[in-house]
Amino acid sequence: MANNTNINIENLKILFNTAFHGGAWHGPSVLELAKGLTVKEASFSAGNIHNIAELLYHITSWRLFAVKKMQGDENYNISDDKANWGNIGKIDQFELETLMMELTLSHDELIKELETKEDSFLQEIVPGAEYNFNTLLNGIIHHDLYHSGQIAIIKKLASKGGKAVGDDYTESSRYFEDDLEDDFI
Amino acid sequence: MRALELIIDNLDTVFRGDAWHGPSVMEIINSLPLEKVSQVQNFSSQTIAQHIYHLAAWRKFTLEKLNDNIHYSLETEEDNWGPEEFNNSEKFNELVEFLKNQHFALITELEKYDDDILEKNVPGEYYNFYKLLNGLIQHDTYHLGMIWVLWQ
Repeated sequence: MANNTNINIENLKILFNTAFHGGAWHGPSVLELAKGLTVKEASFSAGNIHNIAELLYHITSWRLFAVKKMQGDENYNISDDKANWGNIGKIDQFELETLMMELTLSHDELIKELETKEDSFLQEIVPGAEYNFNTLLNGIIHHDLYHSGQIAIIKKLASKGGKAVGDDYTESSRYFEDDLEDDFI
Repeated sequence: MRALELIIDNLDTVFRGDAWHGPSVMEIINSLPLEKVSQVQNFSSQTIAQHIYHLAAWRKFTLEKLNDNIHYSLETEEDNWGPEEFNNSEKFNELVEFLKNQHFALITELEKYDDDILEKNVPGEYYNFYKLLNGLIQHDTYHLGMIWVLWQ
C-alpha cells in the first residue's frame, strides 16, 4: 500500500494504473489487450456481441463519465446507445487510432483528476447519482476489466471462430503468439 | 470505513449483485442456460464451467494464504480449471455450491482481520494481501467478461 496521508486515493491510483497499463494481479491490462489491435479484429462482428471498437468506445465513455462527475458535473449522463457504444460498426485505421488515443487520454484525465482529491472525497455522493465515489471509481476499474475479458475472447473468436468483417481478413493474429490467453492466472 | 471493509464489500458485491460495473458472478451463473456451461468452443481453451471453477480455485488459494500456507499454489491445469467431472452440465449445481462455499468461507475469514493484513506479504509470493484481494475482485470481472462472450 502507498505510504501517504491520502492512502486510499494513492492505492486507487495504483489499481487504476496497473489495470490499465500493466502489472495487475488478475492478468492482462486494458492496454496489453488493446495495443496493436488490427482493424479487422476491432471490427469483427459476431452475433449480438458488441465489436471491440464499440467496447473501447464504451470503456472510454464511462471513464469520461467518471471524470465529469469528479469535476462536479451533476447533469452529465450517457443517455443513449450512441453515447454509450458509439454505433461504430466497421472502422478504418485512422478511427482505430483515434479510439486508442481517446482511451489513453481518458486514463490520463482520470488520474489527473484523482490527484486533486483527498481520501474523504471517496465517501462523497456522486453528483446526480445515489452512490459514492468509492463505488464509482472501483466500479470503473471492474468495468474496464469486465469488457477487457470480452475483448480477450472476441480477439480469439476473430482469429479462429467466425466470419470476419471485410474481405482481406486473415486467420492470424499476433496477439495469440504473445501468450495473452484466457488462461492467465 | 476501513480499507479491508471496503474490499470485503467490493468482493461480495461483485459476487452477489448490484455491482456498478454490470452483472455479478451469481447473476451470470443464475442466468446461464445449462447446455452452455460445458460447451467447448473452438476459439477458447476453457468452457464456462472451467472459468467458474477457476474463480473458486483462486478463492481457495487466498484462503490458504490467509492461513499462512506458504507452499500452496495452483500448479496444474486441474488445479486451475478443475477436474473433468466438474466440466459437465450435470455437475453444475455442485460446481456452483463449491464456488459459493469458497466465497463465503473467504468472506468469513477476512472478517477476522483488520487493515494490517493488507500490507502483509502473501506467504510464498512477492506481493501483499492488498494486491491479492483487489486482484481477486478484478479477476472475477475479467473472467465474467469472458464467460459472457462464451455464453452468447
